[in-house]
Amino acid sequence: MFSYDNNVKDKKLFIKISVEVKYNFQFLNDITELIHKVENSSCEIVYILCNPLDINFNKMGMAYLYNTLLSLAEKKNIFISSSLFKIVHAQVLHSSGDKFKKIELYREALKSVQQCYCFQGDKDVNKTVQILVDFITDKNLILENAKEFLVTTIGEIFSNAFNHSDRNQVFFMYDIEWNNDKFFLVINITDYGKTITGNVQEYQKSVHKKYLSGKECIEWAMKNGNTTRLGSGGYGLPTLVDYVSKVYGELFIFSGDCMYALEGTIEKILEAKGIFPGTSVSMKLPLFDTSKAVMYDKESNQIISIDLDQI
Amino acid sequence: MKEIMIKDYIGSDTAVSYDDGKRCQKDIAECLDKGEKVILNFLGISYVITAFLNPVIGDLILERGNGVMKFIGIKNANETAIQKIKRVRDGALIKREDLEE
Repeated sequence: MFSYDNNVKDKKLFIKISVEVKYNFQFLNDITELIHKVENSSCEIVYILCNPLDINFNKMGMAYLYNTLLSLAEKKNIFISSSLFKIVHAQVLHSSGDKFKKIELYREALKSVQQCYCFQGDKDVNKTVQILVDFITDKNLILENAKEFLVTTIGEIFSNAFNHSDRNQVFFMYDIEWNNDKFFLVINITDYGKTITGNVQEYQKSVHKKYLSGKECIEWAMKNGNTTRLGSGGYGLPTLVDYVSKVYGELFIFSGDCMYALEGTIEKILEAKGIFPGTSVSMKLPLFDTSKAVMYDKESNQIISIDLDQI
Repeated sequence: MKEIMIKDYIGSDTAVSYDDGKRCQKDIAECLDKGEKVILNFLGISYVITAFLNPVIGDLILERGNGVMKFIGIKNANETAIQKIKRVRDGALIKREDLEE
């Protein structure tokens, strides 16, 4: 997805976005490689290039890439080509978590702008969940016990981010995706703080005088009751896995040099291509029975009508 | 016996904050210190996550031992809340056992 040209002589690193920026597992993994290459490059100046005619992108992928570049810009001088800037400028908007607004399916599926929300503390999390729930239940997009599901999953992810990352800033974005005759809710929650692997390694070293590899750290963190906090804890991630697997959803967690992937009921813990400097949690949840609410034209890739009572 | 309304610490029907759980735990601990039994009333609470329950249930078991369970009652909790309470309680009991070994 990205090609790299390290010009050591001029101390410049050129990164070209070769084909597409689509929000999926491969993209998320490639982003860890991009971060690793930028952070470990001896070059202080990094250029991000793309040919807008070649590039095939979706808004969530573009927003995630842009957020990554913003976090890297704290450590290196990042320049993006004017063509990429134009795409980002037209596609990505940032606002604080309290600006999260009621969702309109028709506008949401058609709009080209990806909104990213920044939460400072967990006070706006309830409102976010409530809006997502209202949207799902209002539009007959059946996710069984939607509120219980979203309160638990989103609540546990935010709680982990605020309590383990050492940062009071968490980024949230969502998209409604159409694929194979189904709508999906895609959610990403990211912090750029302490990683799962870093926290577990620190804990194991100080408490058990043991060294665990990145994969062993993720495996340990996913087990019920394992926590690096003193006291009770360690039920958030297993609960999240239980809930997502029950609806045959997808869950990807990138943290440090490793990642956890759940697709349906199949779990994998693998080394990432690079290193994620924080924790990025992505969920993709199927929303059923959309035929009751909308008509979708696969060829033009557009919603062509929406029932009168659903407007 | 003292009844503690969980809703008083949340202000809504959804308990997701660890900090709210800590505030609730403080009041429970004060009652327990006086030898009072505490009833946790979940009336009006529709949704709860383990982060809230960790201090309210788990930490109390870890700090005070299995015997504390006889001094804490649960009232008006729905099915999913009970499942999560059990998860946190059982986990804390295992940890407590490990600590005692």
